[in-house]
Amino acid sequence: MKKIIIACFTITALLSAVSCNRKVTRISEKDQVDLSGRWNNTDSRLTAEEIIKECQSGSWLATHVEKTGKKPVVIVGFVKNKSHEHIEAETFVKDLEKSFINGGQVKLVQGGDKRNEIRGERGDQQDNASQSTMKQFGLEMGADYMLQGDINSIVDSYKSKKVIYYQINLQLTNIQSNEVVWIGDKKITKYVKN
Amino acid sequence: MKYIITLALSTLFCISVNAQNDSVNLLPDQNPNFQRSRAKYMEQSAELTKNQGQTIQDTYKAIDDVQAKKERRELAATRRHERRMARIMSRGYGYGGYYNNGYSYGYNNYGYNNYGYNNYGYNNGYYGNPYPNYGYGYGGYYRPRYWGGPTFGTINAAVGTALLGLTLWHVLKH
Repeated sequence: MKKIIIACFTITALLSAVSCNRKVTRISEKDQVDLSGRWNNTDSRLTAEEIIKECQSGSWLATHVEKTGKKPVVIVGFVKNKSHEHIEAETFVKDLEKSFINGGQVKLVQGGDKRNEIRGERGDQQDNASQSTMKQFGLEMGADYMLQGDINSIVDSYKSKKVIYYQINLQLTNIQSNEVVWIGDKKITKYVKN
Repeated sequence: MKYIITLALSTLFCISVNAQNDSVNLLPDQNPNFQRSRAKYMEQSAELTKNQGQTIQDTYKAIDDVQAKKERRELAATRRHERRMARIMSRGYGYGGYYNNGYSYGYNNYGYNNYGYNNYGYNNGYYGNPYPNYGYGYGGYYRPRYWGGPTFGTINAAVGTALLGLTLWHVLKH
């Protein structure tokens, strides 16, 4: 009887161990894992690296400092995804923004919904915060340049083979003069065989 | 005449005083139109700050072939159940002649109009799925083939149990 009970326990334990066949492991964000051939973290990382390098080495920065004697102020506009896939541009645009702030050569101002929320908070402070801590309207930093972008793709497929080409363009435009001062791009081509 | 001149002078005085007040209230480099923005955002502040401290879920459904297959199977099972129920209900009413049963649920209920044509794939064409019309026309090429058979997990468990049982029987016997 005792043997049977032990056997039952063993069977149950073994079965539960066998049934749990899903395995999850953490990998480095720099590891290249391509599963489906669609846009993935490696593409985003490669784009960020390339764009950051191009942006920081561009002549627009030195020209601006030379002209005005001040650091340029940048606001991030929209990135239009015209490709065939869902691609979140924020992943690489945030890397670029981070490099602006950490590099200390470019100032960044908030835009979009986040800016609205901040202004809403400032509006709330007008009624509720103490006079010494209340923040004033009309003292925001005006941006000199706006960052905008496009994502394009071309897909060529035949039978089980497919070539996917992505082109990511980012550009900086002078808000005062409408002059485009910098264009950076990243081109990625993938060959997928099913 | 004197009255009109007095009125004009007092109006000018008021305007100049107001202008002076505005310029006095401005901080260094402050936008002179700041009052407009201030009024606008003070009015909207409650709406704009209501999500503070929360996470706004602005998610999207990622492409997952396994999940999509599972969902297709579940949907197919639901539809099959609905068809069965419809068939039972149809048989329950009336004589059950050719036109009542055959035609009515054969074509109209689960044919082209109700089940087959609407896209129920996971991406509905958003991601450019080339075969969005699974189950088109009930019994077509892309008919969902959910048959409720054993999955990998159940086969695995059954084989494991059989092997272990065999081993145990052998051990206990000797």
